[in-house]
Amino acid sequence: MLAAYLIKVTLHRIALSTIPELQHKILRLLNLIYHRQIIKKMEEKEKDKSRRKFLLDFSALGLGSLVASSLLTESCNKIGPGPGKKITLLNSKNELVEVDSLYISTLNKNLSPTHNSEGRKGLPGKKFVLVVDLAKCKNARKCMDKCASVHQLRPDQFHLNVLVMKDSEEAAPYFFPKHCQHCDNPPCVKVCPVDATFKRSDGIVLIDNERCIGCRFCIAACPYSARSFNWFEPKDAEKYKDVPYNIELNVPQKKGTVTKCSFSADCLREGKLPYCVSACPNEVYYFGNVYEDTVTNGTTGETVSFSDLIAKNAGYRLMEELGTAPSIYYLPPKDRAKMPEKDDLNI
Amino acid sequence: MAKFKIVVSFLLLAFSFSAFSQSEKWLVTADNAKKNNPLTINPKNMAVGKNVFMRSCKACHGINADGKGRTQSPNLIADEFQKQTDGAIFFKVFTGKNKMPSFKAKLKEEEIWSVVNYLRVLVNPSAVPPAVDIKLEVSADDAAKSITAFVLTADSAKLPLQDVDVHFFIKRYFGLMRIAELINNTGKDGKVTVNIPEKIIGDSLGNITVIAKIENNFLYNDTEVSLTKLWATPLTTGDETFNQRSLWGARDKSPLWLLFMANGIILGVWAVIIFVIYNIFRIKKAGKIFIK
Amino acid sequence: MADLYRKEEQVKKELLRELYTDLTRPLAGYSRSGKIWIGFLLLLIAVGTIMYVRQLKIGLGVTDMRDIASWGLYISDFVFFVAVSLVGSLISAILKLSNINWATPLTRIAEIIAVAALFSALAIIVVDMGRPDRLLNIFVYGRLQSPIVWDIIVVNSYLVISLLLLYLPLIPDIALLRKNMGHKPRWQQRMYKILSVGWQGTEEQFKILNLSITSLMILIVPVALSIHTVTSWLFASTLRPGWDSTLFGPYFVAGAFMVGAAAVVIVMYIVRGQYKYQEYITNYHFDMMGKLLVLTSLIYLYFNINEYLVPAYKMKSAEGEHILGLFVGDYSLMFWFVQLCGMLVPILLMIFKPFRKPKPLMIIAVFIVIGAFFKRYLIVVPTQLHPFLPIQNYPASYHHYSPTFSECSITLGGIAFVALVITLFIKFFPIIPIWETAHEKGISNETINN
Repeated sequence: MLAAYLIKVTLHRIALSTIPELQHKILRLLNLIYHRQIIKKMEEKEKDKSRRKFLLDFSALGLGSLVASSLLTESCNKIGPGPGKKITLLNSKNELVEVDSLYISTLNKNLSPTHNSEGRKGLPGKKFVLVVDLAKCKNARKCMDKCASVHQLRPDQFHLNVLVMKDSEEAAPYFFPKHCQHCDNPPCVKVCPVDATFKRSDGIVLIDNERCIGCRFCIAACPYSARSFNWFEPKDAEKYKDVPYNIELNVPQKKGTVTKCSFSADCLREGKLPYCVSACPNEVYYFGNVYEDTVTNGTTGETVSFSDLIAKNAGYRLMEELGTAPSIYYLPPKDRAKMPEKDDLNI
Repeated sequence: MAKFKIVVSFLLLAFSFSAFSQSEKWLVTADNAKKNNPLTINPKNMAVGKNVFMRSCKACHGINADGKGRTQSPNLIADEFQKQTDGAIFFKVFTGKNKMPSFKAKLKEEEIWSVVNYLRVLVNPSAVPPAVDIKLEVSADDAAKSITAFVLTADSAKLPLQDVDVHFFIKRYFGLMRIAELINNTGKDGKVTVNIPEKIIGDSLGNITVIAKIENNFLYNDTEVSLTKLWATPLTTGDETFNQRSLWGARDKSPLWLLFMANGIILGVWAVIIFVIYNIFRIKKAGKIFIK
Repeated sequence: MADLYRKEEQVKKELLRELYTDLTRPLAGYSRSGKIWIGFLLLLIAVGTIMYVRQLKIGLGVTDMRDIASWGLYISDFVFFVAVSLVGSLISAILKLSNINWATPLTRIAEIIAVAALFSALAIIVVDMGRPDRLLNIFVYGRLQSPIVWDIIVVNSYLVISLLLLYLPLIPDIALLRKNMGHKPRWQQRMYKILSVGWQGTEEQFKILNLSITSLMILIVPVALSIHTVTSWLFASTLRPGWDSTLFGPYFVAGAFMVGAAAVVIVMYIVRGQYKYQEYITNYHFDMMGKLLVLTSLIYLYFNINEYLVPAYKMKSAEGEHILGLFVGDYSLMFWFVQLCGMLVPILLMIFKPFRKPKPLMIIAVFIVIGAFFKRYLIVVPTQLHPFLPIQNYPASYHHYSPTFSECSITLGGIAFVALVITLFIKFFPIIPIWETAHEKGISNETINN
């Protein structure tokens, strides 16, 4: 048994470069066959056109692409007579839509709005950067609230945590919104044994909650303590039971897996700013494409040159000496004497 | 005990302080309240006021200044607010308090006064005439990398319009990047020319889309024109570096030295193990010969 | 002349019979205390299993591990078990290859400890996984850049080698059992028959066997060193203060040799007392094991001084906080217990001969093993509670980690499993090699075969 595994692993290594492509091709082929079968069945049953259109829309979204062969026959068999119960689904626009279970009976558990392999690639011609102006942060925590709600986090889980920093005994304190740094030399991605957490070409470090084995090595490896684990059944697990997993939004959360800041990759795909950035009332966040050398302020909507902003305000990265090469820049917290009152410091 | 006292007094202090800050009125000295607004309410000033409001105030106070922004903030069109003097409002914007930041360093004094005027107009819309349509045209000078906006009346007369505020932007992934100033008024000929800054990065070919806009103007309705020019530095990506084999790469991008070393060790160790297992069968075979 | 030879042969046969009777005594059956012991171990394992099933249902939240200390007792158990398993290579390979023969009666004890500890190590690492149902992902999506994958490959290879190194020298003994265990249940006889692989003791069979054992002994040394080195890299490959050390590989290996040798002393003492093996496991063996323990402990002491003194001298910000936590902070009691009772005092005592007598040495060994267990805990846990950035906005409990009943009972279950494997092995196979002992007493192969 053990030997067989090891041989298998070795074989994997040898055929490494070819296998993913092959897998992808097979999946695409299966996908094609699958859709044809569905459409054929539908026509046989002469269902009304609007419903059919809906299903086609779904396939156009690439929803069907993850289907494995065993699932194929199963799902086809399951199309029975009469309408079933309504099921809630998340569509590509992140809207919850209600659909008759008859048409999506087995699809919904295995397919995600953004195709997994698509979500792993990253947006072409982009590399995202976040600039945090520490001088402006007043601990309003609108970013944290928004983040926790869209990512369905428990109150003790953080993708984004606003810290009160005090660099030394005499130094004045300042607020410090801490995200995942989306490092270019990510210690967490290095140690992942199963490629569950990975780095995209647009700089974003994501995690696939459907592959994560829960070893928590990435949590141990992260010097910024940016990752969180689902120690229990996630918040509202029952409510989102039938919602397909979205790798870019990192929801629904899954018990026993690691969860982390995704730079709101789902928003970026649509050209929108991340949730936290557009929730800030204090002009703290600038977000943009570093290849374009521009960043946009989430509060004012002003778009400015990234390199100018960094140059004029002495932007720096967190713990540069670790060599992790973060994608987040901080503008120093000048005027930090103007901290809000003590009661606002909910430490 | 002494320690306990300190803790208690500290808590009391913190509590009273917080209670105080909640209910406390924002007092403005008579001097400041009496200050007069140096600006008259005219379309030019109003445009400045609206532009500044949209940039710096909207996030918290809401697009209608009704306090329904991203954070809890005072309603600026309520009577309670509006009954203050111009000077008092100016003072509050200038100095800031608690959640309200100070705009002393961020805005010019005239800009703050313009915002005050804008707030006055918001509750008194009949003070300004209804906006009309106008025509906006743009032309580009490839040699100078400059763009000229031409503002005309929308009617058949096509008269050039003076002192119309035109905004210029370059299109970026998350929004429009302003070029030139916040306010660029047209001249007597109805034209205003701005230069494209250097070091602008376009698409992979070097194309940029420049947009001229009329917005936040009280006399004219919003309108915009855009044109695409091959004026910028082409965008270069780091994909080549990204796709190299690395320790943080995906499983099909593990470094070659690692592949060779690990597989070499695995093969070496398991060759011996398989040899030993084979030997167990050899022992068995040798035993059978003995029986015969 | 022929008469003399025959007489001598007769004496040797007698000696062999005596040897065989002695060394197969544990196989005779279960005493009352033996039954109670096995029942007790099964109970511990059952409690551990029940708690694990509960953990599967509720989630890893039944432990006290949280986002700050996300590795806890399970990982320190794993490191502990891997450390203990290293002794197999020390006694049965390193000493043998250096022609040190006094350890011959101890080789099987060392090997079975190694195998049993490895089983527990593999089990506990699955227990620590958030999604054990996705275990196969490691083989389907395995990523060679991850130290975890290295560890899985190396630990499994070591397990196979250890099993083989336990089994191969056992073949001639199993052949003896097969001949003489006619009164045992059928399945047990069948097992002996299959496992003895038709051993007849021919010269060729001995040649193949010796070649195989020698190649395994050579192979196991680098593999053993690498299992613990790679395990140390799980920590050393991160940037965390307290783990970010280049010393970790040899530091872990040295510690492993120490705790493994101590574990062997404990099992030796119990086996000797239980089955009256004073003749085979003599005071001399304890004396030598004591000296070996002093040697391994001294090496470990040297690494400890390096590991703690150098950062304590510099007091780099985050590292300094961690070091202070160990020296005078939350973990100081445990830290100084481990350093003093688990290392320094034992070394000082064992230098004197009276303390290398069986009983005192066993007591010292118990302290070393307990110390080593806590030492693993001190390596895994405190580092995580001192991250680079402040721990804020979390519930107060996140600032500390203390194992829950679930974790403790599963740990006890793991330890009980090690003890159970060793106990059952003793009940089915001779724990002291008959064949090798006979050889040392000058009994020839022919005599053994007939």
